[in-house]
Amino acid sequence: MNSLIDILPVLLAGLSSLILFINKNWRWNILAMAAIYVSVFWMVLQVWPIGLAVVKLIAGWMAGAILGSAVKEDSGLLVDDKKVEQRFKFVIVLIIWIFSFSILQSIKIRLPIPDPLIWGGVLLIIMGILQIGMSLRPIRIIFGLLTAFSGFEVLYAGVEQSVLVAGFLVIITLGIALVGVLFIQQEEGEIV
Amino acid sequence: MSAPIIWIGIPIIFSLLLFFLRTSRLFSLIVGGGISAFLALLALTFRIESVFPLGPISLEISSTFTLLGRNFVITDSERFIVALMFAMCAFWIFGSRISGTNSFFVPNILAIISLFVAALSVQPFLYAALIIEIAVLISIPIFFQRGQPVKQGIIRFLVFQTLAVPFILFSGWGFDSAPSSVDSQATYFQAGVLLAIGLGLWLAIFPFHTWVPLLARDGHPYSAGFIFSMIPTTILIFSLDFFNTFNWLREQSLFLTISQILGIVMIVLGGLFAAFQRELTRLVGYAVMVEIGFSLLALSLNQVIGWQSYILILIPRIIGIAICTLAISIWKNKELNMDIDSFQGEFYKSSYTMVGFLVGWFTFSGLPLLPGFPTKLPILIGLSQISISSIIFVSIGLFGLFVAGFRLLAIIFTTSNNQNEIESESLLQKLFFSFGVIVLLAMGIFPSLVLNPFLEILSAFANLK
Repeated sequence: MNSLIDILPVLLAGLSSLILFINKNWRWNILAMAAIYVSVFWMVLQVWPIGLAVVKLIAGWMAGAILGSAVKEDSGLLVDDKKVEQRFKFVIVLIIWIFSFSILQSIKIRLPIPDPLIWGGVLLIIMGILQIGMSLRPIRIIFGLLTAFSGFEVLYAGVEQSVLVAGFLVIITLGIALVGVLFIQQEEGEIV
Repeated sequence: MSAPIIWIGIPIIFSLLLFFLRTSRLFSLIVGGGISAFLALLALTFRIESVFPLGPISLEISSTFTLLGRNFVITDSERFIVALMFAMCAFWIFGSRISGTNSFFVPNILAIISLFVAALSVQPFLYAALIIEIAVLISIPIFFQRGQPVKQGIIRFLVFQTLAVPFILFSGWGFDSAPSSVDSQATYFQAGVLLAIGLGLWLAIFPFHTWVPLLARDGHPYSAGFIFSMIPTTILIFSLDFFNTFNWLREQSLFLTISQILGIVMIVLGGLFAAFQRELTRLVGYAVMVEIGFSLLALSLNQVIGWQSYILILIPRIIGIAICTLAISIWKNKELNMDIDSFQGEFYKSSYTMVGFLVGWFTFSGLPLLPGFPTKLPILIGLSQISISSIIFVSIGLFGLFVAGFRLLAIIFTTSNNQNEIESESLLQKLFFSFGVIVLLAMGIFPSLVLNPFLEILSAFANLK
């Protein structure tokens, strides 16, 4: 039986990825990204030493900061939410959560890692893929990629503790965020 | 001095330098192309782990460099892979002078090639997936074109390549843990499935092939061509590591059968789509699908002839893609309509470019006297010994490529009265296309002389000989 303290990061991951998915407010999105990486750090802490786990938190927050700094107040990327769209997305998320809960047992048999890591990792991966699949705007796809990749990082942390791998994953997280910035700038005609 | 510092560290430092000096296009081209050509020559001539007397001092290049407890190893048998990588890098960099790529192209592709070499040399080799992903991220800026928003093809390329990484890493973990697992066969099988999905996403294997024609249309053609040639080349060589290391993979008839079926599907789909495609930019994307299909077929043979063809088919493919995408870039820069019907009389306007494109195209089609023929023929012979019906499907795919080529051939010679002006092609343009065509013809006419030395690449994989 897992303690509440182990389940909390999973709930945080679910809630923050839900906000990232259904809310288009730029500031909320960045905050949700930051919260996702807090949950990643919290989950990874169960299998990694704190010194190594904190790398994921810092990298994630840096990625959020990089993306946040690229958007201007008058940017065309700031779009309003539509209630109908939000409700539709919420229903989809509920269905996907039920689906992901149903496949957890079969993943558990194959992956020898603590349960909360499997729950949190799968949840983030599925929410990320959902975001990628249902978005057209490049920046929202970047959010989806970061979410899905953070889920993978949680799962992989359970089986691999290499410092070099952690370093590469940090570079990839920051790289995806930088590509997001390039997308924003290219959309606004600022580069090339 | 160690080999990874020379062939990974130094070019990365140069690429960083060139990134900040990228606005000086000619300087960056000369330095980037020069360093790539130099490193290719160095890889061909210097033996790793041997002592060279240089006057009063002696120089030894060690094979290993250790970083954070992991080794980057370039052994003497891998020199040819390194030489191939940097030679192709020089070829692409010099070609960029006339292709009109953006200023990110030279520094970024130098970094990408260095990372590919790092990916092929890192041990345990599974970390290569992470390094390839970093290279993919670095490649994104080279697709941007002035005044154009980010298009679907670029995004899909990024998404598919990124999603491949978890599959490859978990498959590696699965293969490593299988021997100690209670049900090792099941663990091997699951790892094999993950590997197949990961490679499918990376190599754009059906049903993950959709980004290839999209990227061919949406990205800069020459930059897309670089990605189409170098990413599959690196990943196909990286896949050899899997087959070389894990005997289980080579012994699984199911896995080989799936490779064969997917290879045939890729060839048929690519060929048929090409036959009915009207937009020239997307044609190369379909040719790439056919080429990847042939690599899968070569792999599925699981014989010496298959492994040899697997390597040999890579070389003309890279040059073919380079000259085809360079030709498309030149036409696109002239703001020509890319619909195939708009190319009426184009042969008389830009003969060198057109001949270059056609030679590249018919190399993909496997026309005799061009290198596509001697490299694809052994695969077809090997396949015919397994199943004759497969040959029929493969022939349909190749026929599709021929139809596309001959359709273009019929249009480019058609002229109307007001279309007889001859445009001058630059000397550099003529030189580059002539060089590409001569190299392809030499490979096609004298394959054992020009292509067979590349078989040395296989010496790095002891179990595949």
